[in-house]
Amino acid sequence: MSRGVRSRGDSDGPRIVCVHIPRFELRVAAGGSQDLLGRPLAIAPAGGGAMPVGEVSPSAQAQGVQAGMALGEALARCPQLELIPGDPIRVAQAWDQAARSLEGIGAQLELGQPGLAYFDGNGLQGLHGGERGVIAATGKALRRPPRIGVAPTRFCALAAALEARSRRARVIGEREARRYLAARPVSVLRYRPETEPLVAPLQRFGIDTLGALVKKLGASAIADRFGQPGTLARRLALGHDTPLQTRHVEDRLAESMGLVEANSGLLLERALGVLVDRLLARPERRGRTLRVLVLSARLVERGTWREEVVLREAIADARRIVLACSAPLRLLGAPAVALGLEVEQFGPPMSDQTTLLGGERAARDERRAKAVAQVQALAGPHALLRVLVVDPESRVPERRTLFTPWLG
Amino acid sequence: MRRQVKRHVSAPGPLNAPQPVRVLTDARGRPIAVAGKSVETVDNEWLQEDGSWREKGELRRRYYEVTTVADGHVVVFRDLTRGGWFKQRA
Repeated sequence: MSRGVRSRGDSDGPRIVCVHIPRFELRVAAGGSQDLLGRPLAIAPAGGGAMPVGEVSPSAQAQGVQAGMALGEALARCPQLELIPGDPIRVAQAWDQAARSLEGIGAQLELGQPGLAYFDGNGLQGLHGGERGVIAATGKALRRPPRIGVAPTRFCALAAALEARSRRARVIGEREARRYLAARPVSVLRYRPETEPLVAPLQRFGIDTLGALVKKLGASAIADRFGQPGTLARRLALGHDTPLQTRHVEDRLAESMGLVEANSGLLLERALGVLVDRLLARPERRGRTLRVLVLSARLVERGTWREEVVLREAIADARRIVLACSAPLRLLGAPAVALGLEVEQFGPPMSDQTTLLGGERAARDERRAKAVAQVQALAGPHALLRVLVVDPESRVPERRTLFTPWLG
Repeated sequence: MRRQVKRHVSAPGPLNAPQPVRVLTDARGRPIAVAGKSVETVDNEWLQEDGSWREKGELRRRYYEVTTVADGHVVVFRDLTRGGWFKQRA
């Protein structure tokens, strides 16, 4: 039954489908070139700390290089190793496109790292003609055949997908899940952020499989040694897991802007101000506040940069949003030629964010906001614009000041 | 009868964007007429280059500050990358 399709004897619990596209980030960064992947390649470290390399090609892996390995060690093991810059923007775009393709077959996805997604296939069986139909639809939805694992829990489905071949899904029944997991290597725990740090110490202890983990370390012993992540690892190895946290599909709302002479922090912050104003002025926002934003930049040198900004509370105040986003902007490693801002998650709609004790100034602001709204309603959203001094020292006259939307 | 009022609504973008203008030039490429108005003197001339290190978006302009009979001081430039004449407050 392990390689077949679920039998009638299994219960109607969740059937988690894990979709795994190996080396997704590396493929995107290499421009999808298969020839390139035949060479010893790794994604260059993003900088800072121990300089770990990113995903590695099969050829590099064969020479002992692993993702997350320090650059010095990786080069010592494989002197021919070629480093290519990561492209987090294109990776995010390609992964979002793949996720939308999977959602097109009706899947409610929980997204892991790029190249890893889960959904409950139980509800889709009627739509696609059983589990076999769901697997076939999943494979067809993506341009490149993924590795598919199907099992009662997310973790078990992941272990199955890691073992599956590209055109043959690995299906695990509910009754055999625990036995199946017992034979899997502890390295599967690397794919969960909470349990990832446990892999190296467990391997040093000589614990190579999840079965050995359960057998050699009791619940109290593992909790004593590894704390909460250890308890979670044991629960996962025993075939328990938390329910899926599926993503809510939002409208895409993004703004971007080409930059010139973009090596000054002031210019970047001004450009950020323009992007925030544009985002807040978009009618598709429908008065909603912003909760999570993604800031991205295309760098002068080859490569891109991407950073998620989670706001402490959902707001629609341009000044506070700019303030929150400008801190990560200072971490840009090189001058940028384009800056982008995208809404990842909206908050609840909120049209009024006036202070409790605003006094006369608040009343004046409110009157002005109403006047602006009336003018914009009569003459269009661009009837009132604000002049923003972007780069007063620029030698090119049209780069000194910009018209941006006026937000009441 | 109600007259229709022409509304001028700007769009978000650069404030001092170059405006295309018709320019007649002499044999050396210097302006002799701007928008049909003859040029009295060419007061100043300079070359503006920017972004030459970039594959796209290189900017090369030859600016002329001229005095015309009708409009006084006017600044025009010739776009040396894409061609064409433009008027702009420098």
